[in-house]
Amino acid sequence: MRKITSIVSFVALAAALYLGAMSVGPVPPLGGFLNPTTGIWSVAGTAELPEEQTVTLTGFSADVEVKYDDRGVPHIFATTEADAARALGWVHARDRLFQMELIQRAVAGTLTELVGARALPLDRNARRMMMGAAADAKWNALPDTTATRAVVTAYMDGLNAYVAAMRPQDLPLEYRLLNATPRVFEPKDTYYLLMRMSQTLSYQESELRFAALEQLIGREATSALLPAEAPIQEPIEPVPGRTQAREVPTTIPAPVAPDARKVAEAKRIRDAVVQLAQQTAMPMNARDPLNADLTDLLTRGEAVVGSNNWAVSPSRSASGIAMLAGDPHLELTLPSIWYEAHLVVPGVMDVYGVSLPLSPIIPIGFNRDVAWTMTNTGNDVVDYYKEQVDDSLAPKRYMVDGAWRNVTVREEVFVDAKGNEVARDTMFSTHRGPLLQTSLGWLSQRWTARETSDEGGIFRLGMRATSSSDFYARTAEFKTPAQNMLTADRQGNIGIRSTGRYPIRPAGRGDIVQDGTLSAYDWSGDQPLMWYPQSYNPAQGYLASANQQPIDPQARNQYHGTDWPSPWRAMRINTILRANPKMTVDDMRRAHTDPKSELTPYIMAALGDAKTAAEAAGTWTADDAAAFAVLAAWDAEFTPNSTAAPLFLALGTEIAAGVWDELVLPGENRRVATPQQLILVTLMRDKLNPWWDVRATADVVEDRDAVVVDALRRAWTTTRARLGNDATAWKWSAVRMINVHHLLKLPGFGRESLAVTSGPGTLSPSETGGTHGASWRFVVELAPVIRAWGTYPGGQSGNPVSSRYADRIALWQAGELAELRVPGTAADLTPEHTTARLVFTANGGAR
Amino acid sequence: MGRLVWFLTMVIAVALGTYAFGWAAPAVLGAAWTAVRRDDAFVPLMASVAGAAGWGALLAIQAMSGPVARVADVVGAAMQVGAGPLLVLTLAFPALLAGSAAALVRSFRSERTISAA
Repeated sequence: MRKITSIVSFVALAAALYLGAMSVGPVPPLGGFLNPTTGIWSVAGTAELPEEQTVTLTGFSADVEVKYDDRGVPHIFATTEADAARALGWVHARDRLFQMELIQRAVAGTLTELVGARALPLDRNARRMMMGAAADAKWNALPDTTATRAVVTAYMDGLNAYVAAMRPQDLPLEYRLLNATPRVFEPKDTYYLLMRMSQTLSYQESELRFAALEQLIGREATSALLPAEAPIQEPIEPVPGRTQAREVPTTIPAPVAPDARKVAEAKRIRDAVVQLAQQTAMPMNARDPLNADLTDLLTRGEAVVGSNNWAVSPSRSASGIAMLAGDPHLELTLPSIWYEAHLVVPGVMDVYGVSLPLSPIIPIGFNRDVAWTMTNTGNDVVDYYKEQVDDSLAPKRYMVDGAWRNVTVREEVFVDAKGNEVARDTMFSTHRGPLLQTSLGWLSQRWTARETSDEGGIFRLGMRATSSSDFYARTAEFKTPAQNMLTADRQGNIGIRSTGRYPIRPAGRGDIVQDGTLSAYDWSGDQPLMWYPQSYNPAQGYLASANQQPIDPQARNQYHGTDWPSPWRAMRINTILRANPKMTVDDMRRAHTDPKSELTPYIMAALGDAKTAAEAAGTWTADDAAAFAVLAAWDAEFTPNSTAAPLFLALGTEIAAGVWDELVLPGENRRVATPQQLILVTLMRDKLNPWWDVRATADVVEDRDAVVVDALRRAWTTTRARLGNDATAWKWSAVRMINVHHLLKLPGFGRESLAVTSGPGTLSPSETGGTHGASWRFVVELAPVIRAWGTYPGGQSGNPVSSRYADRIALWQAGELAELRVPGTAADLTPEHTTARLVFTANGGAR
Repeated sequence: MGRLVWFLTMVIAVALGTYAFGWAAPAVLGAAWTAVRRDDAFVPLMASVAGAAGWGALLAIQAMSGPVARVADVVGAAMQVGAGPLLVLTLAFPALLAGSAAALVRSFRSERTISAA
């Protein structure tokens, strides 16, 4: 008995000690993990900011005071820009350390060192895309004496100083769950973050989709479905005298019936699209690389990142003061991509806005003189070249102008947290960029983001602009990702410029795969600044951008890309601004969550015509009438409680399915590509176009009305099956909602199923996953004493148990904004609005 | 000293030991207690309870400085075990350490006592 007791006790103790000291599978060592003094429970003690704290660090030239306001925003008062950056680095680290590590590793392709082999596909793609190498090159290209280098270095010094002095209880929860510790950050990491932004916003390619469609439906039809000129023009650069969007007379040519050889070729190209996506896709891609999901067809094909900005001059505002509003749309995560901050260096800068953790810059915000915000331009910045190589399995040379050039071959080694090798890959590149193997052969890829440029330095300069025109002078060399930079200043000026690198292609358009054997197809330079889409103080008194085609080709014809997102948001903003010559701050705020879509009237008009035709033909049924009644009674607003919006979405989806059946490869259920919604709308004006004929019904030739009525019936059936027979009980929020997941999608760390006002074509566009949306909304009034309002769906803290982790979501969800406090001095932030105070002393020594 | 005093002393020792020396302290203290209270057959059980109580006391102290319940909710969800089981695990772990160490030492001592007799 005693021996049994001994054995049982020994085994139990040994097991407890083993589990305490060693990780088992995904479970970290339980001893340190559960320890109430230093383990997970100790995170509770660091959830909130200490009311008073003094930190002594080397490097500061003078004391720096940081006051956190009642929204958790740090106001940093320093005497030099480097000191402000150093303090911001420390502050970012305290609130967002894990997020910064994750971003850096995602770009460097070293996630396996943090989370193990499961991240190998992502790491492989990041390295194959040469993301880290490009960031290194950008950083290394900065002269040693540049102020940007000094400021970024100071920022990282502050960040690393925090990490070095962390107490056990300061370690973020994510590290504990992963049984990991923070890395040492390097100044070049800021450029990793900027590469990440380029990847998120400017990595789009259309070459292969164009090629596949060309095989399937012919060149003319393809050019119409992926047009260089959007059929509805509401450009960023206003056309003088125009008071409404221009509908371009367009006929969509009938699809050419493909023969078996062309179908096979289309399939081969489609396979190459998949292969490229598998080799290059990384999280936070702006678009579904395939655009081929057969569910939710109405919104598929549209970019899920749909940013907006607009500004009004004094002549169009009730107060006689210029105003600016913006809502950059990105993947919504907890913690948020943004971190609100205010940097004050008397005589140098006084800038407030949203910073990007891992950098000392505030890319969107305002100072005392000028406000600026961005939407994505979405120009064509990725080109593919078909290369002739010497060895189809392991190329060592590629042909250019009749001579062989050496392929750059590199070994990439992936290791886990313990340094054990997880994988070893051979990767290839040419002078153009990564060399990728596909079913079409070897393709090399050129992308503007891999070219040398200094976005960090340019943002730094822009933050200190004194007027709109000064902002554009300071940001003229900005290259990637191309941004529609909107400004308003205190003198009442407004302006916009789509700033970025627009490659000059000797072959003209860049939406086809180029011949890599000829250097003549290489980019020959960049378009000059004067060609950029831009406008300054237009006569109309307002400016707006929403990722639409920036210049109407009728006004100025320059190639910037093809397949532009539908202009519904741009049209809606312009409609709102045209209708209201006296905009107020509240009008600007309300527009962010405006519930209407310019897409709706087009579909409703087609539905009305189809009903008339069906009634005349005697085929209109009682069910048709019931479904129509639901939509006819709808106020066309995509609010969470809307009962008709789910039926409208289903109707649009079914119409698209009926129209784009020719884009599905025979024998498959996935389309090669999906045109933008505005192409569908263009077809709706042409009721007898052959595209309306449904391929599956060989003995009948359908027209638009037949497809629309059939779509209504299918939509009625599917919506009732999904939401119940009682249409009055339907809710849009049951169909569309926002999911703000944690960066690692950890259960319990996110905020999911949020009902919001958003829909196809609204200023807050929605998509099935609900993972993208307005990442920051703000309005600035450029009064003598500047005033601003804003919020984002998250919170300042990255600590999931902090009250500041997701405290802004409710306000964001309601479409409200909080007034931003913009104290000129530390003393201006009164005690009742101050929640914490942090002082960095310049005495040197350890913390 | 009576059992209650010994027990309370052990609770405090576990709390202080964990704070000062880390998570393995309950095991060391459980073994040490058995060595000192060699005649008390209830020591393994009491060590086990004291281990849990010691960490429970530390959790209570943490709760005074921050939202411990929220930690349980969040981490319990992330580990897909729930807040309650995570809390139970946190208390069961030191109990297992202290109790098994105490039982092991006691079984050795008992064997030696029998051998000597």
